[in-house]
Amino acid sequence: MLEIRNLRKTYGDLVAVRDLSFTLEPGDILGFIGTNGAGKTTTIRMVSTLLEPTSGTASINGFDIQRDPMGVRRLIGYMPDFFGLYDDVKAWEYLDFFANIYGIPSKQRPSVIDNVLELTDLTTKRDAFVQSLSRGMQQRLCLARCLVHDPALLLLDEPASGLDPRARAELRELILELGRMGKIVIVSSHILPELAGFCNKVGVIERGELLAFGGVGEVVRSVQPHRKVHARIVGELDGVVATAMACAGVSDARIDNSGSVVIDLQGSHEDQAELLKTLLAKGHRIFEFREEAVNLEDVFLKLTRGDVN
Amino acid sequence: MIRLMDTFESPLLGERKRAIRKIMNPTTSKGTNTAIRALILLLYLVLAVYGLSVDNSALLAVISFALLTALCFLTPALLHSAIAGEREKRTWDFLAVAPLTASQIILGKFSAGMSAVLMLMLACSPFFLMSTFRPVDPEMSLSYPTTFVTQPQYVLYIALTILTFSMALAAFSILISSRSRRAFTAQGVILGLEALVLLIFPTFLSAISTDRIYVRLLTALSPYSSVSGSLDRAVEGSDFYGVGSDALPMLIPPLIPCATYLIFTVLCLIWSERTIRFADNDVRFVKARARNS
Repeated sequence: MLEIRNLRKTYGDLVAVRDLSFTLEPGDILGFIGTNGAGKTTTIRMVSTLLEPTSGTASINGFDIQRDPMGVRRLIGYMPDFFGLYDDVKAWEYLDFFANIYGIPSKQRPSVIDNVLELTDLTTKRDAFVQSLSRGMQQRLCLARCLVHDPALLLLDEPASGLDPRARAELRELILELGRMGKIVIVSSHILPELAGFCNKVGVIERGELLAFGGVGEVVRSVQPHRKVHARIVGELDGVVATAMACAGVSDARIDNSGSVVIDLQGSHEDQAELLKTLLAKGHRIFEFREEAVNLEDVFLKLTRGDVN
Repeated sequence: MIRLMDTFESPLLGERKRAIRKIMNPTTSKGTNTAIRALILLLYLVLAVYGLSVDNSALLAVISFALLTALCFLTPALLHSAIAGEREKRTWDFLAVAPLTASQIILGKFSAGMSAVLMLMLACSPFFLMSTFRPVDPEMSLSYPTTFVTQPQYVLYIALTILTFSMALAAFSILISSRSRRAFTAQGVILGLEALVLLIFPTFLSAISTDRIYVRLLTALSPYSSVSGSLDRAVEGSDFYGVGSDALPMLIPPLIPCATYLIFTVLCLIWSERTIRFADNDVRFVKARARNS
């Protein structure tokens, strides 16, 4: 379990991270969202023991980042936003070097290396020199390096930056798999629609302050308390808006430019089912009835003002 | 050698293994590495041919000075980027988040550099052995009647001087590297200070006076002077110092420079370790203006 308590970092008068607190359980994948300079990287660097907090602390499975940084380092895998790799070694040698550092016995190392290469889909590149790998492959090799010691917490700072769409999709699958394996994953990213696809928790940070934290749906609802339901109807639209407005939980209904009925629903899923039933009972021929997907980008834009430290 | 190292599970050895792989692996795609390997091999062959054609004392002098000079360049070349290069290539964070103490990182880097130095010294050891124990050719001894290695223990002193000086240079290179932002800057500083200490300063001192005792003491601490002194003592009748072989033996015993280099090594390593302590780099190596902007 990761527990962050009142974590704060200041540089002179500048408060880079302001009393951050949250908790993550095994299997949680946190999307850490914020503009450039919001404090994401500073937070991640403090949790990874690279940067000393001014006050507050964080603990991973009981190991405190200040009191027991060595214990913490054995439990984390850190992938920075910008990184380099030793370019004079082969992929397996690179992983062997770090496996050695993390104290994996030499007899176990070949199987550990094979496993992480397989997990990151780099088995065919085992004997390739690191500098010969593409950017996406290097990204995956870096992730493989994070995994050699089977960490409980993965800190991935902008892992998808510079990747093509296919590499991003592969990375997303990999992160999902890591979550299923029971690891805590913190992913900072600007590509918000992608985060919504695989994160079960989200944290929005601006000027070092955590503006929102919780389950994705929970955060979206806190910002956008009503749900938008889109209904498309065959034939005449007369009376649809009036029928919808008469239903419980509906705060607004209108017809948009594409001809679909947009209903703002503040009620529960029960109310949503009742709304559909009423519309059908009134003889409206509905061929599409759907709730608008969670939109982290809207949440992000509503919560933040674009201010940076 | 790597398999032998695998029997030890110390994280320190990772750096040594990586350095040895880098040096020994013939398939590495870096052209400069291949060129350096070819150059060392060529020099080695030239020395081998030369060694067979000259007498023992000449071979000892050439191999001693050649090895010392080679290490003056090779050691900084291997270690100038030990820390600064990692920082510059953004690989440093991976070491910093690994469960390694600052001392382990520094000693790992140091042992990696020293592995290469020891490999070169081992490669040169046949020449030292040849110059010490090769039977003297009677015809050659007639032409060079005063140049026999008569005191083999001084050959050991020469090797010790070269080794300890290399250790000092390796530790100094790591220190400068740990306090530099860029590897290139570190390389420039190391070579510049080396030139100052080994060339400019001794020349300046000798221009002042060679008679004063402190000048002699400082000069004797130079590895070239120390090696010359040991050569003078090892080879009866020679005068590499140019001031007479009996001028210094009582003043500076051969092990004093070695001890000085070892003390310097330890001091540099301790200072380096203090430089790269937990979370220090973010403060020390980020410009104040950038931090506050």
